[in-house]
Amino acid sequence: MSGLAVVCRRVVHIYRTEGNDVVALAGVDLDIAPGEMVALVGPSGSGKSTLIALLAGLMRASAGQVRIGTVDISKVSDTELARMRGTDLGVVLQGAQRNLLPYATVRSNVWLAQRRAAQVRPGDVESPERVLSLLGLTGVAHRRVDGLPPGTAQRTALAAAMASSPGLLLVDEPTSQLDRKARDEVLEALTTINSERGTTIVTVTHDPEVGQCLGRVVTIRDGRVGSEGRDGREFAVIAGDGTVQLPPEILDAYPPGTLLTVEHTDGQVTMLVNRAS
Amino acid sequence: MIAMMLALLRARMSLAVMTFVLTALAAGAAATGPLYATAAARSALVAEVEAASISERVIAGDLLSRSRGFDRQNALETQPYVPGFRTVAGAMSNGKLRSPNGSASLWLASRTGVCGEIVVSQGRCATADREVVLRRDIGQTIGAAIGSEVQFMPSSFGGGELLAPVRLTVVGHYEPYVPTDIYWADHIMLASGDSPPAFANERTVLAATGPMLFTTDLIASPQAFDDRERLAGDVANVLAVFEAAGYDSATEIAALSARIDDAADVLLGSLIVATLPLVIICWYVLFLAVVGAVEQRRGELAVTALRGVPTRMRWQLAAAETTVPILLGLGPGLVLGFLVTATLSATFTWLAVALAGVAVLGALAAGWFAQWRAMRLPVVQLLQRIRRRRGGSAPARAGEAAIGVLALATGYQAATAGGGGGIALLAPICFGLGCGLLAGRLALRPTEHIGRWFVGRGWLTAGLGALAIARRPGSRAIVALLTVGLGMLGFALTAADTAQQAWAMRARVETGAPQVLTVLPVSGARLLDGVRTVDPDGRFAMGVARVQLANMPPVLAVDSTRVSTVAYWPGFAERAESLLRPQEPDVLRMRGERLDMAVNVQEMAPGTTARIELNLVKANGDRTAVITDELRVGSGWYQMKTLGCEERPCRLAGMTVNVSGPQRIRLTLGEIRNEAGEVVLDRAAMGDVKRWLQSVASAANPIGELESTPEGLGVRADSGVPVDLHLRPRSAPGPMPAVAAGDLPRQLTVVGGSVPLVLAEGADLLPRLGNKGLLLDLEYADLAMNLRAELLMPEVWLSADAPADVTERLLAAGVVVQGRVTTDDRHEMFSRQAPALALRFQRLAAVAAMMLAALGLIVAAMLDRTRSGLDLSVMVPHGLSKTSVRIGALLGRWALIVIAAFAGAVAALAAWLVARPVIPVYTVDVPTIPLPQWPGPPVAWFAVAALAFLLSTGWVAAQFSRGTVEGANS
Repeated sequence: MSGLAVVCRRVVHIYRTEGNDVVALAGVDLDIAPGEMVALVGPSGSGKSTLIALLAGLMRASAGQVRIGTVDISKVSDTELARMRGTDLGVVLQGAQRNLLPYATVRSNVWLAQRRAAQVRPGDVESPERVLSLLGLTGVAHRRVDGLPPGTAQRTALAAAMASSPGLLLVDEPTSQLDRKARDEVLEALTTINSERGTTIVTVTHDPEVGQCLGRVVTIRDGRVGSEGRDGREFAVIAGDGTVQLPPEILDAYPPGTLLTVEHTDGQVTMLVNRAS
Repeated sequence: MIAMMLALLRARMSLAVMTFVLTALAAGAAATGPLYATAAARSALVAEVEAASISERVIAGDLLSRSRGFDRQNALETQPYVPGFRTVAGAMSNGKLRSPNGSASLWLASRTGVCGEIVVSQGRCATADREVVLRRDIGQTIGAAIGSEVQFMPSSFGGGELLAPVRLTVVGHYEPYVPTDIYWADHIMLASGDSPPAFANERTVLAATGPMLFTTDLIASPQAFDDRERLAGDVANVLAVFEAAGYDSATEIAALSARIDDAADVLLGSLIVATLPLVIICWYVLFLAVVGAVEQRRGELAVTALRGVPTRMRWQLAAAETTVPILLGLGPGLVLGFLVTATLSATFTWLAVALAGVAVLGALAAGWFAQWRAMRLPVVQLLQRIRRRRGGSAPARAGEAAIGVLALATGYQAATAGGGGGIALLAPICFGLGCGLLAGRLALRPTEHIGRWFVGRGWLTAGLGALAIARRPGSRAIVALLTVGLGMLGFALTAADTAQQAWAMRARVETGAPQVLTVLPVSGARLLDGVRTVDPDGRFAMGVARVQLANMPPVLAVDSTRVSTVAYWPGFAERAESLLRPQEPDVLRMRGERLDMAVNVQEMAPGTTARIELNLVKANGDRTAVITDELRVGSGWYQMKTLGCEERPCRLAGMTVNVSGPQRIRLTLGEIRNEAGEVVLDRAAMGDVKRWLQSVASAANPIGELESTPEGLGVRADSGVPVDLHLRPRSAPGPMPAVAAGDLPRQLTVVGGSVPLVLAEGADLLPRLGNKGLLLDLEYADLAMNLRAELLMPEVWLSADAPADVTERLLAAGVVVQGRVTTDDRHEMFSRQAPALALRFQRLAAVAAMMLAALGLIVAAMLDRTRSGLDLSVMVPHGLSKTSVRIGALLGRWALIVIAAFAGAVAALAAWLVARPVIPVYTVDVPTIPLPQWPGPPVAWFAVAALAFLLSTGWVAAQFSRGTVEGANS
């Protein structure tokens, strides 16, 4: 299956708790093209994991629109969502073992993850061995996953997520707690998936090298898209409500309440600090 | 898929095994109910039949034919035969057996299968015509050796007229027997007393020309009661046959059949009801175990949801670890049920399989319900590691309280609904559940406050332990489970202990003494003499005789001087002698090898001959008679040679003036002296008219006139018909004192007269007789009624400390012991009857329930594996010592157990107070034997042991939980 586009419009998510509510996402606007690889970065609590949970359909957005391909995932039924998880969406949670059945073999995990796709579009389902070979796991097909080394386990989790050839692969912290070699193997696996299958990949990471590897890095700050880096360059992003987050170092120099004059000339936008204020 | 299921089972082997075990236990418990009920019903049936009276096991028919030459076939052409019954036909003719060396009164009798019932010690049994086998002592008395020819002369019943003799050949001697075996069917004529039967074949007996008594006894075996509906029809048919043939019939078999029906109902009801809580507890613990299993693999459920695995496959995968071991548990469960009931020889029943299947289906439902709850959770909740506490909301609290109150109400209703013991057995579990739920709710809330209070004062171990149990999600369930188990156990132990007390008391009452020896029929005098010879001081032995009198309540004659030391008769034993024997009997005793009697015959009709006959009873109880020469007109001394009165005096039992010819005579009986010239009966005593008793006079049976004279006792007869001149000394006071339970007859009718009675005191209970009958002094009764051996069923009652060789001593004293019954035997009989079997199963179920509750503690510890956040070990990084963690975990579990112990005690007490009256203790209640109200100390010891066991299990659970949590943390 070819990659799926992702569109987030004014996405808001509020955690309801006893006593007070917590706004995790405060209006995220994000467009990801089919086949694109995106890394979501940001400080802890910024909302990036919440965003990926919304993309995976694990939670429903409190407001806004989350569209995967042509489907508004906020509005589909549980049954349709289950179908999508079995066909169009591949999800890898943080911690490889959380994605796998520990008592089963590597191959069985992949085989099980293909069952929905085997029902819905059996012609597109590859053999588990082929999926495993894609991720360099040919030799471990019959090993139980609870005995795998961390890097192999992470790739196995990727294999399970890719078992049904989804159009969108969502990965939470794919390289955390991995050594360099294992990290490189995982990154190589991700790029292989993207290059060979055209799968759209969205990862949450704290690792800058992962961002560099994937090419597009979206920074989530305070529940919004704070900035975006592409090919080594850092960009501010205009949100759907017209707001733009300034880089943190500028915020340090100009406290909240600082007045700016915005000038737009020949395609250039200039913000001037009002010294009088 | 199958490979994955197998891999899953391998990975969850401990949980799979626990699920398997619990299912097997549930299936076993469910199967045990009907298996035990069926086997126990059979066992109880046998016990009931064995304990039944002879009249309840025999359909007896008899026909007395007074016509000579009666053809048996005219009476009953075909003997009735009924499956499960043994038909014993008999014919009996009364008469005298004469040999060249002597004669004896006896019954010539035939009886089907008698050769298999008697022990022929010499010769062989009589099989051919004109052959007869005699009791050994009779053969010796009349000198009828094996091979000798004898003559049997039938007599008319009561008339004494001897008819044409039948020539017989003695072919064997048999040993005396005790006629208590059911084969003898309570026929007095076969009682083997002073006039024992001589057995011959039927044709030989029918050859006797006198009146004949025909008997047909259908003796029921336990198998006869297997199909009781058919039995009722069979009994009716037999009675119809008897009626058609003119037989008098009697049977109480319907009462026994009804009692067996009741016993079976009690068993089936009790056992299935007792099984139900056990199965439910199994289900509940299984549910907890499956919940634990599901908790452990919430992450795995999340994975399959995350991958969009089809629901069917998700369900299969999730349910495999419970479904497979649950289904596998059916077979072993059935085997377990059979093993538990193996001691009762249980047989296969489809009901057991069906109920085991229901138990397995229930287990499956419990397991699937636990799975289903998890399956329907959203993925994101499955991914969360910590769950919200349940049951904290107001509706949940109200619901729990409602269930608790409802359970208490149901328990009360069950116990008071009047459904007998079966449904009442639901009371303990209902009360246990109610008390457990309320205790969990009432006790755990304060526990949280106490925990906070402890923490606030720096007592971290106790405080955090209290908080941990108050907040642990399964704490209330564990308290309820333990309360149910302990409540059931307390109730079952209480019921069993009080029943044991009741059985022991009833066994003592119905046996009468710690040991009872059945002895060969002897006269009352011989029995008294034999026992007093063996135990002259009255420390351990007492002669007792059951007196069989027609149309009278049961009569028991006891040597009342020994009741206080031997018999069990609460409230009366010490007073028995003063009640039954207010004064010593006034007995005329005569010692001497020759007795000389002064007789003055004033008048005697021509042609009249007369002799004086004295009836003497030797000290050993043997009877003897001495007779004078023919009397002559005028005064004179008449000598009588005695035998057996020279060393120990003989008792004068009667005196007869035998007159033949014209019945006109007047004489005076004077003093009696022995060969040494000693006066053994002076003139004044002889002449005291009040001392002598005569038969009741009638036109057909005139009696002599007595008068007191200075010379002695004047006797006069003048009648055209034979005059009864038999005199009996009045030795016992009249009327005879009796202690009666139930109505007291005004008099006892015996051969030759009647004995008036006076009520010494009424009693609710009499030893052996229970709540109906009367108790007499044996010596009084013997003196007043001249008790013949065939009327008696003599026994020797012994105290618990009787010497071991008492049997041999009694034999040496002429009392032959044939059987021994002890209170333990009687107690054992109760323990084989239906109520005992039901209570035993209830006890078994209660112990199993407590074990399952203990297993619940372990399962709860397994649940804690997935709740490390609630375990105190999370406080270790914050400075709490590991020792405190361990102690806190242990104290927490012990606190739950102690709370449950209190609640269980309350539940057991409440259930006992309410259900006690309807708990089955006896098949046939004896209202006058009070049932104990409260258990004895053993129950307290068992309760302490159960608590110690649960506390130990709590320690194991704490270790188990700590190990897993620490392992998980590491």
